[in-house]
Amino acid sequence: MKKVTKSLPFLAVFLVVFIFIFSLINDTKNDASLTNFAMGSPVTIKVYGEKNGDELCKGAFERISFIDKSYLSHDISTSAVSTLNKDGTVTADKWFCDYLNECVGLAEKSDCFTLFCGEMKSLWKIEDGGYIPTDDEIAQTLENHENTALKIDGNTISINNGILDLGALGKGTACDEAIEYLKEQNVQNALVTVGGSVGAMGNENYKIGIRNPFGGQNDYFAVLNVTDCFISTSGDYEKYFEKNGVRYSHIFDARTGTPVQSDITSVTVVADNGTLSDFLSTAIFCEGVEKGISLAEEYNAEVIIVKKDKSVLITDGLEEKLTIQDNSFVVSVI
Amino acid sequence: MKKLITKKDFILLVVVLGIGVAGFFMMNSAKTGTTAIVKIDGETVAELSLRGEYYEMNFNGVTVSCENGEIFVEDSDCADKVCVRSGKISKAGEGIICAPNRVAIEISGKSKSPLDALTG
Repeated sequence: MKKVTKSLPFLAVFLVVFIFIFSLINDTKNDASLTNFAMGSPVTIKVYGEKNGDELCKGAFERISFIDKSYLSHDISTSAVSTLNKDGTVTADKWFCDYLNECVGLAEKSDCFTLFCGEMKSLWKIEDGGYIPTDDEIAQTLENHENTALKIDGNTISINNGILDLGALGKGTACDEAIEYLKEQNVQNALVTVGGSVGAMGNENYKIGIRNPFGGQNDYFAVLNVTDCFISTSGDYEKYFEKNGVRYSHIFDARTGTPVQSDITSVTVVADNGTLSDFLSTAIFCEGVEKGISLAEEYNAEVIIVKKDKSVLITDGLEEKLTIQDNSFVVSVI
Repeated sequence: MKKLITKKDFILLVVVLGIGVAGFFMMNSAKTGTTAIVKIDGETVAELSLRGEYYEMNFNGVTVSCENGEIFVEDSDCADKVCVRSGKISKAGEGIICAPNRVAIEISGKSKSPLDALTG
């Protein structure tokens, strides 16, 4: 009996020490995250259950930053896109030539999608308060756009006129690249967000909120349960200006040279590649429901289309994965 | 015969367990708070209290205001004003971002949001 009495405090001390050590061990394999900016958008990287999570987050962000600075940026004058737009020609490495070929291939799939909306964007001053051009100005820009030709010859890229703008795909590409980097580092589970695009990697079940087009920056109307995929959203609520009660968004219809006017307010696409999901969300926004859905089917992608009257169309692959949080949205399966 | 647990044993047990429980809560409560963290280019530049009187501060052209435990962007010199339209935040894990000015504001603490990410 005496022995038991004496060992009790020891047991208690042992227990507490054990709990402390256990929580320390637990801490070393923590979830890490990083928030920063690239491509004019917020970037979030989350790495789950790795010892050097912070380092891995940093590495993934550096990859995105590199892609931005070296190739895609309009703000940095030495990027491949900036040089091409300025000089009409640029010598680029294999990565960029392959990537540009991929972009051109995607753009050919849709008449209203264009990689050369730069001139239209600056005419309408979308990011600078907004301006409604005259019909002549629109016609002039359309003519220039029609005459734009991009040539990729070996590692030399040239453009005769027009402004190359990969903004409609770049954020998805950034997700691709960050996930690629994390895979190279043998990470099992990670989540990357660049602007409205998300890259979800691993077998973990991720809950991705779909932004409420009629609410604030943090509001969502539905939650998507997914594993291992890429998601992008294009909407008319982020970059736009309003004149005389009409909203002019940053998404242009290449056929008319004007911002897309339709009953759609946002398009979310789930695909197995970020560049693709980003392309499809923009293209479907332009094309509308019918053509848009058949385009998505070509790539086995799933789609959520939110209309201005709060009706929501989803493809059948998402029926089980989507949970509506706001019942003022009425969902139907296509 | 002696008691199985003496009074002293019991006190020791309570004290040790008390320390354990207190430690556990301290470790957790460090994650939740009533402060907002302001970051520029991913680097923390300020930790603002959500308590107390009204105040406003400027970070990289973004005027951040705090009132009644809520923080919001009063004004910004950016073109799109997405940050201004973001409204007021007060719950752990909520955030406001001004991408043009590379400013991120986040309420500290473990997020109660059921989401892993947001697309839009």
